Amino acid sequence: MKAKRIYASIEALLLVLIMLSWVSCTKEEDPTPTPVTPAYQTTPYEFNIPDYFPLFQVPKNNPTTVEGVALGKRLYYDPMLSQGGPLEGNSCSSCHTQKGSFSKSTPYGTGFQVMAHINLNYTKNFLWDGLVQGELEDIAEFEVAEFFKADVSLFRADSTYKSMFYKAFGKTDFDEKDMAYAIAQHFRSLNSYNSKFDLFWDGKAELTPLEEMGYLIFNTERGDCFHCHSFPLLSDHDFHNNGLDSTFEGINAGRFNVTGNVNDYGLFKSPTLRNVALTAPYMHDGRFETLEEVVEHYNSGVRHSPTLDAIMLKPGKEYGLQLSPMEKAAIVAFLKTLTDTSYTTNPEFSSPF
Amino acid sequence: MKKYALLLLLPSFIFQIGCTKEEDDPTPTVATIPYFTINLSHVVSGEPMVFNQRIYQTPANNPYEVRHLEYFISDFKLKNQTGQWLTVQSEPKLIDPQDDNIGTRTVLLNVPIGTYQGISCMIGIPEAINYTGYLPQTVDNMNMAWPDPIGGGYHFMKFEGNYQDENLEWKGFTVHLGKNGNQAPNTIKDISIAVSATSKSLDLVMDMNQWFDNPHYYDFNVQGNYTMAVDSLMLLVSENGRNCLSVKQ
Repeated sequence: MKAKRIYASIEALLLVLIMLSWVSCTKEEDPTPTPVTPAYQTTPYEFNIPDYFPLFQVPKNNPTTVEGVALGKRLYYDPMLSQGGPLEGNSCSSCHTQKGSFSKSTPYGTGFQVMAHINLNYTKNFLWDGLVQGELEDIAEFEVAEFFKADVSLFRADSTYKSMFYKAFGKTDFDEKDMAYAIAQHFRSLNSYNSKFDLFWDGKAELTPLEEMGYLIFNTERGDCFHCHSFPLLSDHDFHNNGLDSTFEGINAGRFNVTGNVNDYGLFKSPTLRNVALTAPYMHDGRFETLEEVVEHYNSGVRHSPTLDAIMLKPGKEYGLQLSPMEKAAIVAFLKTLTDTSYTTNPEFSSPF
Repeated sequence: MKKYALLLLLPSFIFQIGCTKEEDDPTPTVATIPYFTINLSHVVSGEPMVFNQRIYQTPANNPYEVRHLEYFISDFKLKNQTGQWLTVQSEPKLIDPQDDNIGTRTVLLNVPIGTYQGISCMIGIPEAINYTGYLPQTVDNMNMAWPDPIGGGYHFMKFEGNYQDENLEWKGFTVHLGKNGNQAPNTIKDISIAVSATSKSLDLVMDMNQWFDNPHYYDFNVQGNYTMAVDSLMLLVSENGRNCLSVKQ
């Protein structure tokens, strides 16, 4: 009987020891949940970028949120951005119209053409001559502070903006930088990837024989378009002299006007060719009215200068590609497959006013 | 009673097993350093390369300037003291001396500590992984794509500039390499490379003029100023490039 009691005690002791050893190996978990009550609550903005696009990177200091994008879009469309400044009456959308792929046709001889706002998150060089370099936040700050010379006090006095800034950034004492960050978020949301070419790339559509011929010319040495207009963004975002001029004055000096380096005479940023059929006229100054004229430039109009891109000097093609009429038509046909009308009609990107 | 004495020991045994790391792996571990950095610099016939300066001459006496240089370096191996080549963990790395975001260095991972008598690597991307989409889809990597209609994969190198032709006119040149078979493996032997906690980097130098000589004398006025997709020229240049790297003294 006594032995049984001893055994029972030993068993109880064993159980305790086993429990102790288990407890000592587990992490300590605080049973009391810490209540977190954020001052404001944002919703992460979801990007649906195709997997064949480059990695989509967002700066940690300006995460993209539904609230931030909505605020940025409102600022983008609001002429109050220029109120009291030299461009009074204008908003970003005055020059970047949705139906033109957030670009706008301006007549030749009136200055730079408006570059399209499309898939902007992938570039570090902004404007034709790269006047601004960096992140979308940098170009947005330039637009708010230097281009429009926005008066922040007007926005602080507006109850709608007060509410929207609070929802986006948790503050009502916002400044130019906050405005720029919101616009940068809107820029980041402007992505286009639903052209016929995208469907073809994704195996969901066929190109016509002429379009396919153009695709092949574009992507081989026959046309050699791909070096500056590389897939899938249709731009390398770098600067090139594509043979428009042999002497350089005014805006035609391009990147030289920013750097002062003679090696940069006539260099311009490669624009994306996405939606190119919607963004006439072409080149930095709009000298070509049609895509046919653009192709003809590369075919027979290249002008030499010391900074002409080496790509343009392939033996036998120093003065142009020497394409047949059908080959030229094929390139134009291919370029038209890059049109994404879902982008230019998407209400998500349209004016909130 | 003996049975219960053994049972008494059981919890402490469980405790011991459950809370200590495994320390009795019979496999001997090789001491490594987590990162070994390869720094690249660029010279022309021994002189530091400066972009956009018309101060260089190819071995064929073509005056030239360099305006752009980008290339992939990959496939690192180290030769140990017994003469064996050890493959070192590394991924193809884009090098661009004009873009600080891309840079001129690559990092080898978990390199065994020791003294090595040789190093080899490749300008380009090994054949098995030279296909479109292999590399992380950064904008920079994708801008090096070799279009699918002409074979796919990546440019191994873009080396561009201007040269003065036989009529004394300055014209552009593009030495582009791509397509399997045109990689430029480099092997540097009979040197001493220390890898240790205090020796964690190695400086390699690329001499740009090596691309134009040995074994093939390359004259822009004869062979041409444009190699992209011209198989015969890419082969010449890639064979020359097998001697372009050396260890910086």
